Amino acid sequence: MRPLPWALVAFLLSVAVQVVVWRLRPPSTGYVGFLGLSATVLSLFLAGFWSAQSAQVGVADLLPRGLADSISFATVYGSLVLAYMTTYSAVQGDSPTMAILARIEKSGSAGLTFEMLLKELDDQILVVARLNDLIAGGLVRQNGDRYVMTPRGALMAAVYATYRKLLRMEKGG
Amino acid sequence: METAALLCLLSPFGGLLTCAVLHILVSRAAPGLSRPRALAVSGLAGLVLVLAVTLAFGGRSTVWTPGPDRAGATVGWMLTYLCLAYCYIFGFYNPSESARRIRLLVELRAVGGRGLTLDEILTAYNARIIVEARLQRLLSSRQIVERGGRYFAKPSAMLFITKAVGLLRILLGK
Repeated sequence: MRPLPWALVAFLLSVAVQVVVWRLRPPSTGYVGFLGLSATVLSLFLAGFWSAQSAQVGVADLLPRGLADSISFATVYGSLVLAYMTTYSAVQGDSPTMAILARIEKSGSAGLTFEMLLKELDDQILVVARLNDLIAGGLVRQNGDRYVMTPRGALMAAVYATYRKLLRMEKGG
Repeated sequence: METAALLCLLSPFGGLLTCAVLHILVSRAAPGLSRPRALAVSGLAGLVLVLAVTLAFGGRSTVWTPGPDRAGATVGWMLTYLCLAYCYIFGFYNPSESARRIRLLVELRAVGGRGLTLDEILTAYNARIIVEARLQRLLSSRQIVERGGRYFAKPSAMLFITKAVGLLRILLGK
């Protein structure tokens, strides 16, 4: 029982610290920042458990003990962090599905037409912004007026192309 | 560390592997099966594996004592698996199906080293295609309805997630 509640506490603490720090001083790289913060929280908790066990303080019985408990704590905590980071990507980038749904919901009983949606969500927002992300991420480079994949972009495209082939999927997007 | 304990600790990763491999096999063997169903079947199989391993080996390990200790550990492994499966679905599968960046890379990959101009890209992939595909998905999953050429939202899991992400954005000052 010991690792589970502590993993939840550590995870909630990481998110709470992120909310406070990000509001005070938003980092330029959200993922890396949160990953660093999570690794720090994990290290601090593990160090705290080991110190409490070594010193045999009163609460030691309530803490994860031994290698198996520590691994259990780290895997539960790590998986929660990964799941949160997956969700966090929706916060960082604008999901078109969410943008569409939010706009339709906001329109209430009047509803929205396809053309009304297209007026707000145009090529600039939906395509060009993503191309710029690919360039910023080093996956695509501009060669004159042409967009060309970098070796890193080619590798990523190959991974997804193989996966989609395995699933027999269409082009997607 | 004893083998039984190690197997229990590794079970969430075994579950994830089972989920991913089965997802591919089911998608290939039963192309008629809807994508959410193929994912649900694979995800459930992974969860069953985690549960089976922990039930079979958890009792043999001396690391966790019977009762709340072992029950808590089992819940922890299942939670770990569910988080990993969530990452597989929303972090890997979903982008391959709907991420614009991946689609753009696929378009660029198709032409090789010569690349594409913006006009060529927008001919193959543009806002109209993106919005149309998403409206179709939202309609087929009954998260929106269409009446007289207008779209209306319905209470749904996706709408809840959209609002939750909106709240998270406000909290993070985005």
